[in-house]
Amino acid sequence: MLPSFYEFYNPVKIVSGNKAVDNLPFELDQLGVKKPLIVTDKGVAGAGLIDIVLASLHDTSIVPGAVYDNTPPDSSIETVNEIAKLFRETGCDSIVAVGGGSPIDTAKGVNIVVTEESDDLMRFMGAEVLKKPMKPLVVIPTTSGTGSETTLVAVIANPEKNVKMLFTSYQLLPKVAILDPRMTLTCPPSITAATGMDALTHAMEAYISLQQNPLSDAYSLAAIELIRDHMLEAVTNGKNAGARMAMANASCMAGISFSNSMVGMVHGLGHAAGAVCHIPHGTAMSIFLPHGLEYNMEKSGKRIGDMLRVLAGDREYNATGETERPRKTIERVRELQKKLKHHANLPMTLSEAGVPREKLDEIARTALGDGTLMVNPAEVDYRDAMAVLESAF
Amino acid sequence: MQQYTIKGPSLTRRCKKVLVRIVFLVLGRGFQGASRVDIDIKHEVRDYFPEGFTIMFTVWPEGPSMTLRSTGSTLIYGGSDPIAADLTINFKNLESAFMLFTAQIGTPQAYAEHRIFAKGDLVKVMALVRCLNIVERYLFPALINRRILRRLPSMGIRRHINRMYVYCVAVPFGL
Repeated sequence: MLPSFYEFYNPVKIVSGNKAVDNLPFELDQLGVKKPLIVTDKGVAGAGLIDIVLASLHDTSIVPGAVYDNTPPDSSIETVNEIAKLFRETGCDSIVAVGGGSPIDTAKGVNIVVTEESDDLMRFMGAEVLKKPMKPLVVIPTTSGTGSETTLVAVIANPEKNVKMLFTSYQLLPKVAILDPRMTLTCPPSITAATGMDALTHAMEAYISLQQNPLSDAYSLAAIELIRDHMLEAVTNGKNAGARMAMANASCMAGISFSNSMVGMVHGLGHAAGAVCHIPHGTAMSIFLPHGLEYNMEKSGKRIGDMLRVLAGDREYNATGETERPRKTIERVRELQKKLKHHANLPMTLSEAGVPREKLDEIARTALGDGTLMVNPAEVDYRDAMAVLESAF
Repeated sequence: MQQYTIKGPSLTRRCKKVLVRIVFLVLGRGFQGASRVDIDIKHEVRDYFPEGFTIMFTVWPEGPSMTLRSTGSTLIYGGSDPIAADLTINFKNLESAFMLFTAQIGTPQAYAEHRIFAKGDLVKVMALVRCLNIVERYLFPALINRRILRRLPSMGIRRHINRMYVYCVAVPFGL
């Protein structure tokens, strides 16, 4: 059924394929820029991935103003301000983010600060409040999960308040996303598994979100299908470039979906657990996903059941009665969790992830301030959040 | 070539604007009254809206508007003059405000359909929405609330008494 009203916007150019990074100088030239600031982290640089990016610029007129490789695992206000200062000092005209969620979201935060000519990122919190066209941002993801290369969202940590702040604006969308299997081949199984579950959560939560629309649905279902067919192979045989490419595309599609149909309580709880206990985002998504689906079953059972077709295939979908499909979908997610636990030691509970029980109260309270709860199909209050956290513990 | 001009507002549109103004007045006084008597709203105000914190509901770009100011424990209705508020809830157009205030859609649906956008800390937006849910529970009958809220806030004896205060004192007299 069509929603009574919806919006959909995705202007990001996707460049996907073998050695796609070699197109970077051409894409930067098309954007009319010459001096990008490269934002990455130590892990990415240590894996030699920045060398691939810099090699692509050889023999071109494009010279990076600087390479910032000190992005922490959780992008923070301090890091954003530090990089913005570097951007101004080196006279850069664009940003290339190379990495997972943290460098990409940090780059988006930097873009806000340098475009608005401000030193205070906090002034721009909120939804759809940024208006000025931003500096061209090109994103080269090195994990397949965040989907940040195609989203209007930036999540930046505020360590002072122990919360993750959400910035959403169409201006935050990158100009180009480059998906190159070379950039994810070295990603270890544990991170491949966690980020893959993040992508699956984006697709599934977007599909049941109050903001769901026919276009976001199409991207969600296509992403789930790719994840079904390729995630375990990417985890167990990381050198399989085909599986890596499929997961990069799944992540990108799930990103397009949730950029237009915002995720719900699984992310709300995950952001809070990340802010309070610093558990990796993908791990939190993997733990909370079946619980979030269960919680929303009363309001969104039909749509949860619909996803069984792409998650398990036509045969199982047809063999399962309509009322059984939602439960079966959740069962399938739990089976996947178990396989990922076996192959990549991905935690299945909060206690396995090292979250102390006494922190659950703070996680629940923090989650109530997360904007994602606004589009969750079912209402979530403190007691509901605590009940879900207890069952996920 | 034929000349086209933007016509003045139709009677319907003018009526809708008047109605939105009236609802803003009722909502503003409702917030003020409910924040004085409802324990959950008091907690939200104490936790999220420090003394002097200002909130504005407005129809983009030229109003109507409604403002609230926090005393640190309650919210005070500040009238209809637009201000540079700490937190602003914008309706993208008059029609969206009209739909929300005539209970054709609820806040989650309005947000999901991009009919409203917020400027300010989203954590405080969420607290404000929780307060709004309770205020709507006081102002609208359960039949309407069931359509616009994902879950009805509970109505114990205390809240029934509070509702009498909101209906009979806070909204008509602005107290």
